[in-house]
Amino acid sequence: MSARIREAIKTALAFALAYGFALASGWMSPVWVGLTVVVIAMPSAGQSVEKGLLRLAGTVPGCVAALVILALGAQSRWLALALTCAWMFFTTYLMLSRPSRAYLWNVAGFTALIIMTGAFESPADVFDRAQSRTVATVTGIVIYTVVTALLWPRSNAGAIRGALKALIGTQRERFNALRGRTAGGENASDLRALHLREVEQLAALDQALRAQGSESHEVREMRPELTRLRGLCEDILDCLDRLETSTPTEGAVRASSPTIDAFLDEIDARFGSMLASLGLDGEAHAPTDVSLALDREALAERPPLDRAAVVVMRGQLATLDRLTVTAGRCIRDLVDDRAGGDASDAELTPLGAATISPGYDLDHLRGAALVTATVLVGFVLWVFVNPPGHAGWVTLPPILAMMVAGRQQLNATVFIGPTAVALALGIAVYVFVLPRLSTFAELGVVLFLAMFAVNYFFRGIGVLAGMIGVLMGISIQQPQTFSFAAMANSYIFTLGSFVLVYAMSYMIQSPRPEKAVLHLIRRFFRSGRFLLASVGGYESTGPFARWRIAWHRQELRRLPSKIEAWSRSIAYRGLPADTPARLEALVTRMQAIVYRIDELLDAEGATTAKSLATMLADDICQWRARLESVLAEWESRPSSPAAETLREHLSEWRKRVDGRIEALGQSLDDEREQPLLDDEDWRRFYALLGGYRGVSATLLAYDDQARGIDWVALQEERFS
Amino acid sequence: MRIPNELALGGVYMPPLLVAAILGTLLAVLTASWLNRTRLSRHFFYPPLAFLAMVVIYTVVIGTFLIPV
Repeated sequence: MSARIREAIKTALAFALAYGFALASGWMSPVWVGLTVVVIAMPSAGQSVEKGLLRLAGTVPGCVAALVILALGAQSRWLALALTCAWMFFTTYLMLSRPSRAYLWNVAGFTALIIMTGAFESPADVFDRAQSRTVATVTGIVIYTVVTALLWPRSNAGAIRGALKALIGTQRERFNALRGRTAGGENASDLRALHLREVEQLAALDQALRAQGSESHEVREMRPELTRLRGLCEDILDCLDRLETSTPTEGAVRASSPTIDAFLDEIDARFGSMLASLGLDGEAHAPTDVSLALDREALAERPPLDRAAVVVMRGQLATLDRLTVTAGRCIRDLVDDRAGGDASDAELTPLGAATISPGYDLDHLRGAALVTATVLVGFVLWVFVNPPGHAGWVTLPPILAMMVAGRQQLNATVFIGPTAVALALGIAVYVFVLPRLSTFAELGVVLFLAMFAVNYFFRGIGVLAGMIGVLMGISIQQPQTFSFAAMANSYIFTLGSFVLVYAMSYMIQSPRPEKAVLHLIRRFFRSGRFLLASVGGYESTGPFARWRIAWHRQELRRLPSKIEAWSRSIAYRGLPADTPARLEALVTRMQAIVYRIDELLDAEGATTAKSLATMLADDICQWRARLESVLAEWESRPSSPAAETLREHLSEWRKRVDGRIEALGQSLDDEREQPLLDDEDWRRFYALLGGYRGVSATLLAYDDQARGIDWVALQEERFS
Repeated sequence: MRIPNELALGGVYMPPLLVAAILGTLLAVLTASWLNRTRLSRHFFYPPLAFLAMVVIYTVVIGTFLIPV
C-alpha cells in the first residue's frame, strides 16, 4: 500500500472518529474538532505534534483576546472593530516575521474572530464558546495523535542526522566546485544547482529540528547546541556564496599564496571529518592550523586593485577557516553527547551583520495592513449591506487574507477552483446523501470517504482547499437541520470571500508578479544607493541615521530572495522563452551586489587608514558618485543603460588609482623601515578599495544580465 | 413597468440579477483572456478597473436584453 493511501486513510479515520466523539458528547459544533484534525495532518508524527501544540498555544491567546475585546467593546461596535483590527494587525505581523511560530499567531488571529462573531444570547455564551473551542482543539490533537501513533506510525528519528549529512555533503561538494572553478573547471549552472540544493537542505534541517525535537527528549536537551550548529551551517552557506561571487583576477590568489593548496586541502579534510563524525565513510581529522601564507613579492607585482581583490578573498577564506573549525568541534561534541561547547570558541557574529537591529519589514507591514483592511471592509459589509454570509464576512475573508499575506505570490484566484469543486461536491452530499443517513456508522463512512478522496486525489494547495470545501459543504450540527437555501447562500458567500480578498490585495500593491518584481527591483536599488551614499560618514551620524543604514542593509539582504519568489509566480506566456532563466541569473547578480556592498560597508567601518583613504579621497568620492548615479538610474528605470558610463570609465579609473597608490606607496616606503605589506592600515585600505572594486564589478555583471531581459514586455499592462 | 421574475432551476428559485451577474463575469473573463492573448491589454492604464467596468457593462446588457432584472 503506498504512503499516499496510508496517509489518506489515517487522516480520514481520525476525521470520522473526531466527529463521532463530538456528536456522542453532544457538542453543538463538531466542525471545530474536524477542522483541528484536518489542519494538523502532517507526514510525520513529530510534525503533527508540533503543529498541534502550536494550534493549542495559539487558541489560548485568541480566546483571551476575544473575551477582552468583547468586554471592552460590547456597547460600542466601532471600539470593538478598532480593537479587533489592532489584534489582527499584531498577530499577522508576528505570523509573517516569526516563521518558526507562524502557525501559532495565525491561530491566535482567526480564533479571536471566530469567538467574537458567534451568535450569543448572553455574555456567558462567549466564555462557553471560548472554552468549547479550546476543548475541541485539544480533542482533535489527541485523536489524531493516537491514530497516527497506532496506525502506520512515521517517525522523524534520525531526521536531524540525515539532514546534517546531506547539507554538509553538499557544502563540501560546493566548496570543491568553487576550488575547481579557480582552476578553470566548474561552470556557473552547476554551482547554481549546488547553491539551490544547499538552501533546500538548510530548510530541511530546520524542519527536522522542529519535528524530531517534538518527538525526542534527547533532541530537546541538545537544542542550544543544535541551534548553534544550524547557525554555523548557515554562515558557511553565506561564506560560500560570497566566495562564489568574488571576482579576483584569475590566478591572483593562487600566485600570491604559495600555501593555498594546503589550505584548501585542510578545509576539505575538515568537511570530510564532519561527515565521518556523522557516520558517513571517511577519516576523522583533527583540524590543524594552516595559515594562508602571503608571497609579498608576487603580490607587490600585481596592480593595487588586484591586490585589493586578493585581500578581500583572503578575508573570506579566513572566515571559512574559523567556521569549519567551530562546526567540526560542535558536531564532535554533539555526537559524543557533550553539551556546552568549547569555552574558547569565540562567538562568530553573522557575516555582514549590522550592529543595530532595524526592527520591521515593509512587506510584513503590508501583509498585516491587508488583513486589517479586510476585517474593516468585511465588518462594514456585514453591518451596512448584510449579504448572505452575514457575520461570516468578518471571519472568512480575514482568514483567507492571512493565508494570502503569508504567501503574497500566490494569487487568491488559485484557491477558487479547488474550493468551488470541493464545496459543490460537499453540498451535493449534504443535499442528496445526508438526509438518508440515520446512524453514525453510516455518517462515519461518508465522512471517511469524502476526506480520503480529498487527500488522495487533490494535490498541493488543492488539498487544503478541498478539506475546507468538505468541512463547509458537509455541515454537521447538533441538532442536524437541512436547508438548501442556507447551503446555497454559503456557497455564494465562500466564493464571494475569495473575490473580496482578491480585490483587497490590489489595495496594498498589485498582486501581478511582474509588477511586484519591478517594484522590488526599484526598492533594491534605492537601498543600494542610500547605502553607498552613507559610506564614509557612518561614525559621524546619529542613532536615527545609523538605524536607517541598518534598515537599508536588512532590505538589501532580504530583497533578492523576495524577487526570486515573485519571479517564480510569473506566467511567462507572451514573454521570451528564456526569461525565467534570465531572471534567476539576475537575482544571483543582485545577491552578489549585496555581498560586495556589505563588504564595502564593513571595510569602511573597520578602516583606520584614514590618512591613506583621504589621500585618494577625490578619486574615491568621484567613483562613488558615479556608482550612485547608476543605481539612481536603475531605481527609476531598471532597463536604463546607465552602466555604460561605468564601463567606459572603469579602466581609466583603475589606471589612475593604481598609479596614485604606487606613487603613494613609494613615498611612504622611503619614510618607513618595514615593508609596506606588513602594515595593518594598508590591509584595511586594500579591503576598502577591494570593496569599491567589487561593487563596480558586480554592477557591470548585473548590467550584462539585465540587457538580455525584455523589460518592455515585463512592464506591459495585462489582465491578471 | 416590467416586474422581474425569479428564475426557477429544478425547483430552486434564483434572483435574476445573480444569474445576470454570473454570466456578465464569465463574459468579462473571456474578454480579458482575449485581450491578453492579442496584447490589446497593454493599452489599458489600469486593467483591474477595466475588468470591473466590463463586468458591470455585461451585467447591465444581459439584464436589459436577455434576463430581465
